[in-house]
Amino acid sequence: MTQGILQADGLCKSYGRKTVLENLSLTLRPGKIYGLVGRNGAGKTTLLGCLSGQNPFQKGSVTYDGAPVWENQDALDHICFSRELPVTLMGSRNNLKMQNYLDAAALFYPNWDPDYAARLLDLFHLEKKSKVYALSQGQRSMVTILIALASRAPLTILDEPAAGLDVVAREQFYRLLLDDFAQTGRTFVISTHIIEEAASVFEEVLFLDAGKIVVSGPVDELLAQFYAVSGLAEEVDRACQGVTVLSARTIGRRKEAVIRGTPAPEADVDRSPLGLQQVFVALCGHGAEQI
Amino acid sequence: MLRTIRFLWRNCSPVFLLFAGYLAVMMVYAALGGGTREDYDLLWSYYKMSPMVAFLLFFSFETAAGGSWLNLALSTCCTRRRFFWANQLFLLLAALVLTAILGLCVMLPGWMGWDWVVPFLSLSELPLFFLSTAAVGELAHLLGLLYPHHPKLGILCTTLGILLWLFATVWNALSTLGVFASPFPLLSVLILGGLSLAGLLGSARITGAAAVR
Repeated sequence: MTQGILQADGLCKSYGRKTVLENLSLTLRPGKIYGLVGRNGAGKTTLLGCLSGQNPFQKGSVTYDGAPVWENQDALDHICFSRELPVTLMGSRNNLKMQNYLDAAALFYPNWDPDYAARLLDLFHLEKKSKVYALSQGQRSMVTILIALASRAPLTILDEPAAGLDVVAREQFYRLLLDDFAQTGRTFVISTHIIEEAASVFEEVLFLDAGKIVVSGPVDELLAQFYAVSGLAEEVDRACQGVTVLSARTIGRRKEAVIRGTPAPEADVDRSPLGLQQVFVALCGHGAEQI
Repeated sequence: MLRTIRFLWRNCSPVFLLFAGYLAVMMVYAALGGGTREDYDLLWSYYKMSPMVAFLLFFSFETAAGGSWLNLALSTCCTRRRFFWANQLFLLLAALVLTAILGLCVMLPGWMGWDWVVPFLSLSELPLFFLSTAAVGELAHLLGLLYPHHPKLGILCTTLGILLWLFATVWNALSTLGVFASPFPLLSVLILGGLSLAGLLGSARITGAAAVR
């Protein structure tokens, strides 16, 4: 199955008066692992739901290889959005069994790999007859990972796959993901809160804040744009000339700042590159780091 | 479309098995001398209630299916349109299967020569049983779709639907007993057809805008 480009253009989505996605546009190119990073309530799951045709939206368009995704089975056959299994369904506990989910996935995903699914079931020590409400959060995450990987969909989307997984299981997941990616080269989109761990897996990141993509691009290029500078206040101010200061903190005569751009070379300051998590906090933390 | 019908069929097979199992027990009861006019025991009541059991089983299943199976199918990237039409086909198919199972059990005493058995339904009533089952399926599916997000509206619609359905069933029973001049229960057919159509239109509207939860 060939891989295509998923494109969202001017996407708007609101629940009642609450705007969740605001004129959002993005392009996901084939053969990459994208990380979608955002705070709680930023609209990550809603965005992924809209991209995969699972959630309706009010304005804009989502296309896969130029064809609309909404209600288009040909396009949807290329996409798997494996979201967290709901513990409640229809106002009561979710009595569906894991088997129901696996059967549905086997029926609806054209490239479903039953052998791989069976291997992952063994690897994760999951029982097919378990009811969803009785699974721990980690086990539910494992089921979503299993469905996503075994779907073999050219565009595979995972929503918070690492939520609830212990550190060993997370490592296992990242290894499986990278093995699969090396083998198939399919596109993955992974939303996560656990940024530092996943940073080495992502090729490109999308930072979502208040319903908008604030930054997107290759991780290396992104990290090269941000610095933390510290030193005497006047030197830091000199270093910050002509660049965007994202946050600054003064302690006595010393000052620390997070900047986007290259600090002035003549300034006598300590400069250090930022990790992805620090960049995210600087861009989307809204001053949280100053508390 | 075929994938979705297979999905629904696979999940609904317990209903057919349960109903067939129930009727098998009732047929054993009839074979052992039950099902006569003189019987007034508990099994006789169950025997006479056989068509109602089909409605109850189908109603329970379709109510659950409305919300759960739609959500599950959409979360595995099935389109709403396909699910809706597959579900309509499936409802017809399920009503046909239930009617066929019931029809077999209506005819079985005759084939086996159990002349003491009073059938729980006459063969001429099977088409109406089919229509009633289809209407129950549509109503139950609509309730399943409505209930999670609009419970009050769901209960109101279903109560109204069930009252009309009961009225149609009673009207049919009275027609069969010869209370009315014409034995053809036109009003029952119209009510059941109307209920099916209302359920279908309601389901179409809700399914078309459904979001995965």
